Amino acid sequence: MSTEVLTPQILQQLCSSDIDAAVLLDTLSDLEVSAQVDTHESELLVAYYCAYFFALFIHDDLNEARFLAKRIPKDVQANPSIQNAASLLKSLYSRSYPAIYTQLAAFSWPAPVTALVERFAEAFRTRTCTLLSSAYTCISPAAVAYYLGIEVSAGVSTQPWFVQSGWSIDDAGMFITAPPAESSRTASKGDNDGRIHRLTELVTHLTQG
Amino acid sequence: MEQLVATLTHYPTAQNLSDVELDQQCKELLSGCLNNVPVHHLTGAVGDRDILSLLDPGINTLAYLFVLCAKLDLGGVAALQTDWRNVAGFLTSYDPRQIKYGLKEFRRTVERFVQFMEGNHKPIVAVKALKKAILRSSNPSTFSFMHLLFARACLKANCFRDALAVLDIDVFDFPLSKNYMEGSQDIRGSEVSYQDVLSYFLYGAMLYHGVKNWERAFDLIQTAVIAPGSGLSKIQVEAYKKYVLTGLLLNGKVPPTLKSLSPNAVRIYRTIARAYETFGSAFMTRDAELFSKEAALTADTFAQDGNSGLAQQCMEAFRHQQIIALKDTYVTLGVDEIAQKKFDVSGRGGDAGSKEETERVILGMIERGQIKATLSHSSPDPAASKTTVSFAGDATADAVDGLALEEQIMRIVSLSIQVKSMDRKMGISNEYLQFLTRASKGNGGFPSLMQMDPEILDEYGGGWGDDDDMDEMQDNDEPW
Repeated sequence: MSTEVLTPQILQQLCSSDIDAAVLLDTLSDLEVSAQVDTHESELLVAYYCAYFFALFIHDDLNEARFLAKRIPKDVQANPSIQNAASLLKSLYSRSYPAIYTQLAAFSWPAPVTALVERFAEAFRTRTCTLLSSAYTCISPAAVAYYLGIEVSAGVSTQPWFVQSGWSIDDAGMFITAPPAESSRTASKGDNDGRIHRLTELVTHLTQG
Repeated sequence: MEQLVATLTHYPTAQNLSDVELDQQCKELLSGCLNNVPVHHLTGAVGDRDILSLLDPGINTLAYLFVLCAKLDLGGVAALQTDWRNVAGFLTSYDPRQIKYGLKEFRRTVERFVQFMEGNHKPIVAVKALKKAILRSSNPSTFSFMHLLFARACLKANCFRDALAVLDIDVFDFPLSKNYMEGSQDIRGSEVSYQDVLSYFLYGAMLYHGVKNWERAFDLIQTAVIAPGSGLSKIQVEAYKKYVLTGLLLNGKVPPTLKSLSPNAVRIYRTIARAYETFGSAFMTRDAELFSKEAALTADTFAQDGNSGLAQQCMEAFRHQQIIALKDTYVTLGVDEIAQKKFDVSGRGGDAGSKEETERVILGMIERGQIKATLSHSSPDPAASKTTVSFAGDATADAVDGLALEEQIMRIVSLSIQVKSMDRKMGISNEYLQFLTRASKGNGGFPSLMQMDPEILDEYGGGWGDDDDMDEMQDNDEPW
């Protein structure tokens, strides 16, 4: 434990690297003891907790983010950047989509965290787009603008996110969504056959007992 | 002193010793040194170097533990001020094979460390160290004194994510109880009490409540509620109150009476938790007005019991359950019609219960997989647009269900293997064999076959297994 010491260099390196969200989160979590016990530099602490918030946002773990807000030392909680992160958390938790995009654009964040903020903004928009694809069969442009925080103009069909989502626009100007691409949790027909075979084996095992 | 340090660093002679060799060396170290050296010698120094700094906690685990424990024994809180990092470091790197030779010292050290960190308002230090210590132990699915300390520290520190790493491991086995160990000469430090186990399951459920994993919370809290005993403990009564609310959150109804509970226990539970049962009954009526009134009446009771948060979650869940129930009646329904049904009883104000907010609630339910449905807007003009919700399953959802089923079956297989192993272990345990001996004395010298476990019969070749004809007949039996 003594080797895991929080330094500005380590934090900068973590925030700017492209490591997996879960790994980033675990690493920041391991540094929390050092942050609470060894670190007395206010600027570093604020940057660390902001980075921790955004790592949780990227990982879509809002419950833990709520508890993190309670764990932050009282004197650090008063910092404007931490309060901004707490406001963003509140908007995310209550699904106030317009507020989320406004806060992401308007708030200023500590320098080391800016890369993580951009990463989260991108991830959040992609995640929301996937959700809309699975939840809506037909969605109005106003709702798309509301959920994705973008201006829906005439040239929207050429924008990269639109092309990637596989959506189309009908004659009435409505957005026709396409089901999201099959994730690793879903399976093809071939996989289904294999699964039935495995399930049969498992049931056989259970009935043998 | 140099001689002492040389002895301490000598054991174990290699890192890859077999269990038998390690056992021999640890016993040599205990009898030849650690149990005989005065405590103040262990806390000494060589030149200006502390003995601890000369030992590797991951290799010289037993020696390191005794030196650390000696320092805490002599120095008390003052020693922890300087040595808490050594304890934390030790917990994350100790050799689990050596710990069993110093369980008393290990327990004393851990308990003091946790108490110190909690007293200094840094329970998170204890959480991180205990998490690694439990995961490092030779069998994390065996309940240990650390499990309860860990769960309590997680609650105090608001560390819910860390808690899951340990809580997700099912507990299958328990060490001997405190009562059993009191009569024994060998109080080893691993014993736990009945209350420790109940508290762990209650705290574990509370931690799952924090992350809104109602299913696991229900599993754990149910274990606390049905734990056998001569009477009901206060912990179980608290667990039962949370059990009723967790059942509402998970299934939308008051959980049915558990068959394994005695009628007396059921009567006591229901009497003490009457407010919870009434709240649950109102929830199940699906009458928003009645439920709101009942929630207002029980609010003080819930606040006194510390269950206001769970009750508030039930208020949120009420609307979700009502929307889910609509799929039994409708295939397609307008969101504005759902909003008009006034399912919202949360009392949050604002736009709660409006058409737009109801649409967002349904979207959230789809995202969390609570409902299989799709939404559709009718017009690009928001003022003229009508949103409809279509309740229907789709291929993707079915595929995910298939995977969930497979995961569930894998879990059942794992549990089945554990149960068989436990059954076998219990069948050959001293307690069970003593029970059989006592039973045989009260039955003319023969144990009652009805009381015997089939595994035991197989193991010792007694009872039904002696009946060759019967055995043969059973073997040749065709499936019905």
